[in-house]
Amino acid sequence: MLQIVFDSLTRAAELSLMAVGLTMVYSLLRFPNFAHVESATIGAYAALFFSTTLGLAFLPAAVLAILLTAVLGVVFDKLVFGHLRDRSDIILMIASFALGIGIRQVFLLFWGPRPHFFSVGWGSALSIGGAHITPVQIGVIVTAVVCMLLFHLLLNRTRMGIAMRASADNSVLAEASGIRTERIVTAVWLLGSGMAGVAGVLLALDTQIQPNMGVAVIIPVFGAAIMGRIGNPYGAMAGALIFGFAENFGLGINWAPLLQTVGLTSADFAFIPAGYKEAVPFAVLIVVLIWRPQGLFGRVTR
Amino acid sequence: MKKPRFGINRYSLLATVGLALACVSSGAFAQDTIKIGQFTSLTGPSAVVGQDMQRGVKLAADRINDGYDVPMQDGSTVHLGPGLLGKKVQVIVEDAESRPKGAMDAVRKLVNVDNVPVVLGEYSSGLTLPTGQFTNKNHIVQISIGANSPKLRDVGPYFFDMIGLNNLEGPPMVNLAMKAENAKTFATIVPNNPYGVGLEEGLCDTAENNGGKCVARVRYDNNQTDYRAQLRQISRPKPDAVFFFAYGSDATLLLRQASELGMDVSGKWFGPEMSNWVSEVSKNENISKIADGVRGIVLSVGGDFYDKEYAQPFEKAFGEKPASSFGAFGYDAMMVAALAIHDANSTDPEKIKDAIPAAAEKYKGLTGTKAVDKDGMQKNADFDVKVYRDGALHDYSPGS
Repeated sequence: MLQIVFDSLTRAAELSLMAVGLTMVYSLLRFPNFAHVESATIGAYAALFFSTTLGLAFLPAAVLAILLTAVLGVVFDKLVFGHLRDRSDIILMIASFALGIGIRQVFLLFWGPRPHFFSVGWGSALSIGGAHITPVQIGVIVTAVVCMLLFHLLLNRTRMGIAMRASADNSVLAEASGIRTERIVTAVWLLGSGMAGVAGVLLALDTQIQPNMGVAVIIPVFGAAIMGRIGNPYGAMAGALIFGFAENFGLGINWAPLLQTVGLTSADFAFIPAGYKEAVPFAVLIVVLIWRPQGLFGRVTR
Repeated sequence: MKKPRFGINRYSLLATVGLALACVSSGAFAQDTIKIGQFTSLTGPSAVVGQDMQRGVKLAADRINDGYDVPMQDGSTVHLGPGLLGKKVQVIVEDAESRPKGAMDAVRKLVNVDNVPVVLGEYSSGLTLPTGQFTNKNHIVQISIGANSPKLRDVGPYFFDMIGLNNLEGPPMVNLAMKAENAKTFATIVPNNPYGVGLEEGLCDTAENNGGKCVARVRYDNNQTDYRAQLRQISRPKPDAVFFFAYGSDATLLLRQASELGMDVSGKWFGPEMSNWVSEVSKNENISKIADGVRGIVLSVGGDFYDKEYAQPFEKAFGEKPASSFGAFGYDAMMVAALAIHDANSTDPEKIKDAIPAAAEKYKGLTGTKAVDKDGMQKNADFDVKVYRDGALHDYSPGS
């Protein structure tokens, strides 16, 4: 049981850092950015480049990589999305698809399909109450929690954060009251891509670096953002938590005792087949959307 | 808007003319060649193996066109060529793009445009099953080079396979785990695709027939970033042995997360077809250490006969060593097709189909015996038992 909690938290931490950035960009620019998860891939490969190729220590390499990822988010906006601001969201969505494919191919070109790892030690797994958790997993969870707290403070305690929320609510009104929306857009790209970059470095530490590491989590990341009402960062955090726990608990529950009582099995273990791993959180998502069509944190709009 | 439309028209006109010319020219050669079709993945994830199979087939076809003494099981040889039935053999290769849609397009073209009597096929079961049904329906012979899902058995009388179906991997694997670890309970963790599912069924059926039991069967989706939930399902029932199969970069992550969950990989894990991940796993010291001690089987391709007959001439012809063992399977498929055409003295698919079982029976394959059963599936497959140690596969025998 404890094992499942550890693994769920790790997964939720990785997803939340990506889902929050995705939902922020959506709240301001109103399009689903399918290239968002590639920022995680960029963060991971950039950290690999700075640490392994250039020989920096891991921590400065990771920080540099996250900064670079944040800046690249703005660059992509200026190069691609900025030109399409007045187009329909379908055009923006397709553009984000294309950008994502392009980014993946660049990594494939230079690093190949083979998985890579950082050269930092993994540390051996700690045993807590019969469950195993690695130092990396603890680091992933702690980093995500700290990031979310800082983000919460930024949104509520700083002028920038309040301006962000105002622009997301109604950008025309915000601009009329003296908020320079384009500056807010830049800040949101920096922050959103940077957080995805953090997620990428953590994911790479926890698993491995591969060109498709970002696109592999695109479905749960979008699912988490939608569950909490897309556009709401707190909703994305809650969505990520639910997704992490649903994936792991869904597959982790042993149904055999229940099935034995109704005489359906004589085996000692009966799990939901692993092929349904992604389906479990989506079943939860559907239930949530039937119950609250506006998402967990959505307001009813009239 | 007029200009771009004109541009498109000009290009499509060019393309049409080019296509028409290509048809005419291939028609002009039709009289003095025997056309054999081959669909293989030259682009996409399977491109490396795809090119290897193309080269294997080409090596065989070139030998036939030059005239060649083909070795038989009983030590004699059958002289083929130059060419077949007095005509040159022309292999028409189409790209299957590593996906079923591409494979279907390729095979439709080979059958409908080129009118080939024989199609040499892929190594992916996902591409082979639909194309096999298509060629069988059209009464065209297809010889699969390396696809081995047990589902292929039901395709039909015009379909043959030159590799052992993967349920043949069951007995040697179960035997190995039972002997080496005295295992009675097993868990399987395989990709959720025709290969993985066939493998799982072969393993668990064999285990049950030998008094063992599969206590967990996990089929995972490829290319994920987290396999912990799947791994917990195989570790909870505490099996004596785990059978796992994964393609390169999935294998590295599975091994890492299994070890982080406290599973005894090196002592209890067994791998069918370990050659699928050795190259990726050996590249990283930590992963390699986790896998150290994993035992399993690999298809037995190699030895003096293979080296002299294939590997050395291959290197001479293409400037590099064979990239996989599938090129040799391609070579064997081409040779069996040629022998069947030679024996049938005809390019009628009906007669070729009837001649294949006898040709496969007598032919001495680079990849072992090619004899097929009543469904056209290769009867036997030879495996070598190996252990992964210090970054490479070494011979292993249980109890040593």
